[in-house]
Amino acid sequence: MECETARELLGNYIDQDLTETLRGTVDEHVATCAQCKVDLTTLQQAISSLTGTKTIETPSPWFAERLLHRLAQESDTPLAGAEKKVEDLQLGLW
Amino acid sequence: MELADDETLVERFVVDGDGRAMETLFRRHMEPVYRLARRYFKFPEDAEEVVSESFLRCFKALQNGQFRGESRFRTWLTRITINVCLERLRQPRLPTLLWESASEIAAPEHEAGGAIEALEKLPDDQRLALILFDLEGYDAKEAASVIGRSVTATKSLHYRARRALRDILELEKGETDGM
Repeated sequence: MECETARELLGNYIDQDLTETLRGTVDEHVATCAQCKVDLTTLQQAISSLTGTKTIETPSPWFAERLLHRLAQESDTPLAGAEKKVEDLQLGLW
Repeated sequence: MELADDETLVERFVVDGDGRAMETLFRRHMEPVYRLARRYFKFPEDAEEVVSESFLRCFKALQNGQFRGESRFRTWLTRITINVCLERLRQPRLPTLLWESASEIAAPEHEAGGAIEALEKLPDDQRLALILFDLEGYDAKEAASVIGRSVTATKSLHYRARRALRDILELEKGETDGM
């Protein structure tokens, strides 16, 4: 396998999206090619660095209810029970 | 109870003005839209603004018949959200939260090994590809639909984006190691 072909397949290799045969061929190439090995390692590190980002918080229920109320108003669409919920929110009951 | 799919709910909202359909669509997609927006903005307040604007545009466009069902509702809403994010990023901003120290603001990014900072340095399309594929778990077909390119072109974009991200991280690592 040529380096260029191997490098094109590294993304799929990392995503485990290659057939067993093709994966084996990439493995063989990487084992004997120092440059492609570095390419694979640094690519793997970059991807895990990105996917290892911390969990994102959820917005507050208060925000969601306020926005839902606004959407209903602006689209002139009545929401069952929404009026009461927003009143409760304003009164701090929820 | 059987859950209606998005497209059925859209029809109920558009044709019958069904408030429950609107509410279900909103509740189903609010968190993913917020999460997507947070990939672009450091502060939750910015992401909340994006969520508000995105849903306001979405329901207005639905009422105006601008959703023609050519893509899934989720794909269409994602595209609206991306547009709102990019517009907001290009707006000149006043400095905010001056009382927060730089380290407090930067802390979450350092947890990610600088990847989020590196993401910000990429061109918009590459950044979007990484967000959709690697952070939000979209498949190639849906990512292509959001990005507006063929599946092959989208995969190629993703390939280049990963390499560009790696190059930025390696460069920064080199700079830090050389200090």
